[in-house]
Amino acid sequence: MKKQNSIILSLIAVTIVGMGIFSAVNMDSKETIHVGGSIPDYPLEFLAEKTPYAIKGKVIDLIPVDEKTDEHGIVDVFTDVVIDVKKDISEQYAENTITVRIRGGETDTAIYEYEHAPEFAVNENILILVADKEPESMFGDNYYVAGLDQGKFNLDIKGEAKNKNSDRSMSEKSLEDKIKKAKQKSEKIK
Amino acid sequence: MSTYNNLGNDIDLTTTSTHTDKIVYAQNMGSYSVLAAASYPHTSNGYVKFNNMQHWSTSNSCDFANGYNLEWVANHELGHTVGLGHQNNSGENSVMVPNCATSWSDVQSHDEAVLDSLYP
Repeated sequence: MKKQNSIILSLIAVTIVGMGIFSAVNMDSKETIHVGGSIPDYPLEFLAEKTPYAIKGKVIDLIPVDEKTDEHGIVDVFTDVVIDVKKDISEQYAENTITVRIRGGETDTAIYEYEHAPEFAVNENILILVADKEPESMFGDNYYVAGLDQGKFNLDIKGEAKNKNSDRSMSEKSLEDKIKKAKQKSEKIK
Repeated sequence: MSTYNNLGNDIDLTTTSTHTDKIVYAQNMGSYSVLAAASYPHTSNGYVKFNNMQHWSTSNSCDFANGYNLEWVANHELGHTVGLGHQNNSGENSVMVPNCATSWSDVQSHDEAVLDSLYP
């Protein structure tokens, strides 16, 4: 009986290891498709003036969006980023969560990485400048991050607002002050 | 464009009939988004697409205030399509420096050297 149990346990262990190897091989077999690009050097104040919301919050979910093929047969892959809203510096956004659409993500066969797309992780504390919905754009009827990676700041280190481009990083207070000032100038907040 | 077309491989930027050719088109990519995007080589559908929401120009400018010279941006994006990544060495004169500059106005000698190594 004892011998039978150990054989069963061994089989289970082999199965689990096998499944792990299978998953790893499958993951490795996914092609990574890089897409290059160029982006204007958007001044922070410009983005703050032009956007309806400047959201501070925490990323709570990343939802893959079905891949889209445009009229030229080119595939675009997007991910929806769901954010628990702590504060809108513009004092306009009233919902508890906001969802922004970003380029990039995984399909069954490939991982798509777009240059200049902002990157998010679940539980990340962030501040983003949110562009209004432009239904005719590739983002469809969804919010997106204005200035893409230029409009996203990581707030995980207390007091610091880190941008992907270190030249754009600053203290959290400076960032908030600059955004408020720009929004006051554009009369988005009083 | 002629530099890229003369690389001697299957890249043909003037016709778009096969998968190895590059499709060039414009798309609404958002008002506060990229200027343009381009695939790298060896993808099944190669492309360059320009954001038709940007302020395009034919003057020798490539900045936010004065507009973006379409040809300069095309030179940069076509560099991606033939396999050139960004040239992050700020001292190097290259069409592939990350931010639009006068060096995007043409393929530079540094870029030609890289292309020679990629397409001997």
